[in-house]
Amino acid sequence: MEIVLDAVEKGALSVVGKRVPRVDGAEKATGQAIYVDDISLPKMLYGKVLRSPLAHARIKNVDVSRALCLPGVKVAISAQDLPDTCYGPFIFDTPVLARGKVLYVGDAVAAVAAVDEATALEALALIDVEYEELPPVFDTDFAMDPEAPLVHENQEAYIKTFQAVQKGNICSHTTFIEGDVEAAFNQSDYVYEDSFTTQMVQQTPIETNGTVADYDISGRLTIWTCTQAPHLMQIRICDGLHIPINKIRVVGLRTGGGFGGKVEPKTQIIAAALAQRAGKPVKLVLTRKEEFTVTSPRHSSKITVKTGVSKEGKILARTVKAVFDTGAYADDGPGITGFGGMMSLGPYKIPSYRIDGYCVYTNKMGAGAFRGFGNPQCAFATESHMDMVAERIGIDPVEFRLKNVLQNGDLSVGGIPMPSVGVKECLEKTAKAAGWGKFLGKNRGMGVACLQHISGVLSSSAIVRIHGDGTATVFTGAIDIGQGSDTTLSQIAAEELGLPMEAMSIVAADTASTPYNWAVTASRITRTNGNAVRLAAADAKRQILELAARFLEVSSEELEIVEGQITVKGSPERAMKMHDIGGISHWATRGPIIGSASVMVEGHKYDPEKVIGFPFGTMAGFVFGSHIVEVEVDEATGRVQVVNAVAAHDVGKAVNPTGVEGQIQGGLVQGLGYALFEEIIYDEKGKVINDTMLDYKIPTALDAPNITPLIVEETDPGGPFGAKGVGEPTLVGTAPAIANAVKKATGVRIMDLPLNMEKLWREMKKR
Amino acid sequence: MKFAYYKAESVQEAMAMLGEFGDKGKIVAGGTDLLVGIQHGKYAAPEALVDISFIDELSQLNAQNGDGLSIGATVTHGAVCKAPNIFEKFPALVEACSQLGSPQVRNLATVGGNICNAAPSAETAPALVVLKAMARIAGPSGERQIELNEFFLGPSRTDIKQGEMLVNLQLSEPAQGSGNAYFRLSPRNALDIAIVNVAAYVKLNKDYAFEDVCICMGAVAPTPLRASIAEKAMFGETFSEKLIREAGQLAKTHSVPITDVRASAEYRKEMVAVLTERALTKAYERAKLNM
Ligand SMILES: Cc1cc2nc3c(=O)[nH]c(=O)nc-3n(C[C@H](O)[C@H](O)[C@H](O)COP(=O)(O)OP(=O)(O)OC[C@H]3O[C@@H](n4cnc5c(N)ncnc54)[C@H](O)[C@@H]3O)c2cc1C
Repeated sequence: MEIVLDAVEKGALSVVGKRVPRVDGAEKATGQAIYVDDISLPKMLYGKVLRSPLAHARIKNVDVSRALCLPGVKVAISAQDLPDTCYGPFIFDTPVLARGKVLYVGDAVAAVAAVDEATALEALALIDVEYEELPPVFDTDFAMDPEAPLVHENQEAYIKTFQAVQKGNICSHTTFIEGDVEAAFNQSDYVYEDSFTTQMVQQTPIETNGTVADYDISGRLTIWTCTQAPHLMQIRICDGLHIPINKIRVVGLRTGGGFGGKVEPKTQIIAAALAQRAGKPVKLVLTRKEEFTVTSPRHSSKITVKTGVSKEGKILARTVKAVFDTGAYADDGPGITGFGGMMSLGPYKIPSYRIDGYCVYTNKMGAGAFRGFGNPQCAFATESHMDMVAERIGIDPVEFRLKNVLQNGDLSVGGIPMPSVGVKECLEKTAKAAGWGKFLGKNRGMGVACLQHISGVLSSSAIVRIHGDGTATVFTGAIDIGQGSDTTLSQIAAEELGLPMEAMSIVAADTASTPYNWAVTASRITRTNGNAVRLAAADAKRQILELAARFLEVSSEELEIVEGQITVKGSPERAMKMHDIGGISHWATRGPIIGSASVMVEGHKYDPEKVIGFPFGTMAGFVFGSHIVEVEVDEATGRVQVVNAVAAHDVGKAVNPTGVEGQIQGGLVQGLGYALFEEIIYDEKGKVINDTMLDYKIPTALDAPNITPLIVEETDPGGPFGAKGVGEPTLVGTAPAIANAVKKATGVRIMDLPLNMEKLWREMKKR
Repeated sequence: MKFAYYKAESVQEAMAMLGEFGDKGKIVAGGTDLLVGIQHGKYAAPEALVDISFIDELSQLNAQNGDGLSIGATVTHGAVCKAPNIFEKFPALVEACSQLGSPQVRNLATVGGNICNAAPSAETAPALVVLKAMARIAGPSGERQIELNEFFLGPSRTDIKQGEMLVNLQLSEPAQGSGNAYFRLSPRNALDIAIVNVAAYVKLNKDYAFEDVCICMGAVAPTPLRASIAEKAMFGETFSEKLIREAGQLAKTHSVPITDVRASAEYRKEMVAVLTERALTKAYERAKLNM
């Protein structure tokens, strides 16, 4: 079970809940922060990757010998030079370099390291690869046909971390079942079914993926990289190259945006393999074109939702069939398909359901995690569908949702109890702030969407050290990739220790010095890692008080720490300074104080009859939100301008309200890009044709609407100081809210993302 | 990639350098097309870049009193937007300059570079064409002038020959009773390329009939394209919604866009009609205020 500390009375907090400035703010604002491309080591080489020009082909032969003859080239490798193994988060289907077959245009076939980039590029042209083209599979409908060519010919043989249900090109099929769905549909007064599609989109971090790797004479590998998950990276490198974890040090540097695209390895293992052979450091940084064509975008999807409702507007039953195109490698696909399915009831109480998620291989780049992890796709479908149902039965969309929202204590899909459910408050707050129902004028419309997400999953650990002067340092495996965890984790430790922020420092994301954290994903750091940090701080605090008790001659229970002073409760004149405890423990007695803690989100057992093929264990820290947007549509061109947006998110406790608001603003705008213009477009040969920032359009500051972020705090008993996460859900509500608003403004319902101007113009012409 | 960089202090010096390097040299002004293009392999990297952005004479922007507007080749879009008194008479130009790229790009990107780069979607081209800009070109054997309408030969191709350079664009004073306007369509509000752009210039006679009409469309042909059939159809007519709609339709029929990743030809054509109507209506409204 999760360890739960006593909740602290509201108002009794002195650091948590305050708008403290970011601890990494100044270095980033002034350009002092060090990113991977800033790293330059003596004798460093430059790596480049040879990529497949074909979508699906057998590799008959790879010959790197001509490349090796080019002056300045130090290493050239292909799969033959590497251990015969694969890695992956759920299904071990990914070789470091393509083995036997290439599975998409861009698949890594060989790699070189040379004295400079130009030489490395020249060397790529000298590598001879013989291919035998195979028929490709680009579409999930075709991929699921029994006649379709197999992307992975022997997937049964792969190692899997869960009981995967597989068939043909389906690498994972997750099912959630509750109640008698058919009977519930029969009892419903109305049953509606709608189908939706969503497009492939890229995280588009401003910093592309990159690594500097160094392998020393003692067999120690050091990886400096931009990553969301230094400890996870150790594991993947170990799996991919068979180097033991204790010999791998991953240093997570300042990271210029992740959004899910920097969780799984992109450059790390190849750079490590090159450095291992070169005996010199190797830098491998992806170009923007590579970032667009070979990294792990959000899955495109085809989703059919069917809902049964009563005359009164109560939802009685739902089925969802969601097909996710995971491309060439499963990556996080099985998790995303399962989790997306789990979210696809929305934040509503639906007594009977059956959800089927299919994760399907095709010959496109392997899709992966991207802010929302399957939820953006499912929420677009289900929240658009909610409005369509509301319209058909003649109920206002906000009212329809309010009739069905979850409440404290309701069960999640899979049967996990949800103790803190703030969706009703979120919806009511946004409706009020947006002026729901007010007259908007021609070509304007307002749309709503609600959402749920999670923030507690898997394990983390933390260490807190008390120094000789009474200041403290937090050691965490969680990396601050811009989301602000260095600041919030420091706040959590400061609060628990009774120290001011100035007395805190934080060391993060270096596997040589910081304890294990699974990854900066799943909106889990504030809650899951925050629990580890709070417990480590509590552990240190217990030791501080025990030591102080010896000098103050009371029992440690009678002591408290207030602003760096250890005092006897009720008689503040009997006090010791933290400074003194630090000094005493280092120089006189007991020895230095170190607090530590490990946490695991666990405990719930899924009913194997009701939850089938789901790759995750217990989920916790359910979070909720509501988005309302107002759009203006140019009738003649189909161009949509989002003018206003109100978003409320239930975060349990806002550890740093400014940080929460930043997440809401950023997620909302990223969701706007998903809704209106972002899309990776393939040609008929499986090649991405818009691989530049010019033709892959993310929103600019001028595309952002006026945003009103609202914070709802429905205390999570399992979170540190009641806190839950907020990173991903902020994106989830935007696209369906925009689609719903566009429907109001134009009468046109767009069921295929993106809702771009040409598409809307075409549909409006049909009116 | 390596190239030599030369900073020219005067037009003469630039001419001498260009003469010396021949086809191995390339003019750079703001560099926002050239350097990006070299990096993306759009052009072979030149051996020598001749930077003209430090030549004082070329950075002059003069709204001569009642005598039109002179735009030096290296005047930036930002400078055009910030200069007083330009919008009043040449709103189409300011509307174009202010929609190019972003503030950072506008502060580097020159109007001359935009014209010489000759992208079919070039922001300022339609506006400068309808404002009947004259391009002054310096060459080894002296200067020559050419109407901007004749200047564009194809994507990335202009009338400028090797060894020549654009020194100035000259706009004459808009006539009384005239108005001009520019519209563009792109998915984003900034840092985007036009799917279609249209500029219009109209002049009314004392009876409010169209005496002169000039419509130029961008991104719908290899070069900015005059909608000459629509222009002729409006001649002598007075403003009506019907007339404007017809002009839009004629412009649409005249346009020859392609389908690419940004938009289909069909959509582009329809948008030509929409933007033409908008530009003509706005230009007409401005003309009425200028009788
Ligand atoms: C992020 C970004 C956004 C952009 N957005 C837009 C946009 O919205 N709309 C748009 O139209 N463009 C846009 N551009 C393209 C570019 O900024 C413009 O075309 C700009 O005006 C080019 O001017 P420059 O001074 O930078 O030209 P340079 O790059 O210096 O030169 C461009 C070309 O013209 C030649 N040249 C320059 N000056 C002369 C001269 N005096 N005589 C002869 N030849 C010359 C050069 O040799 C070169 O071939 C954008 C570019 C970037 C990088």
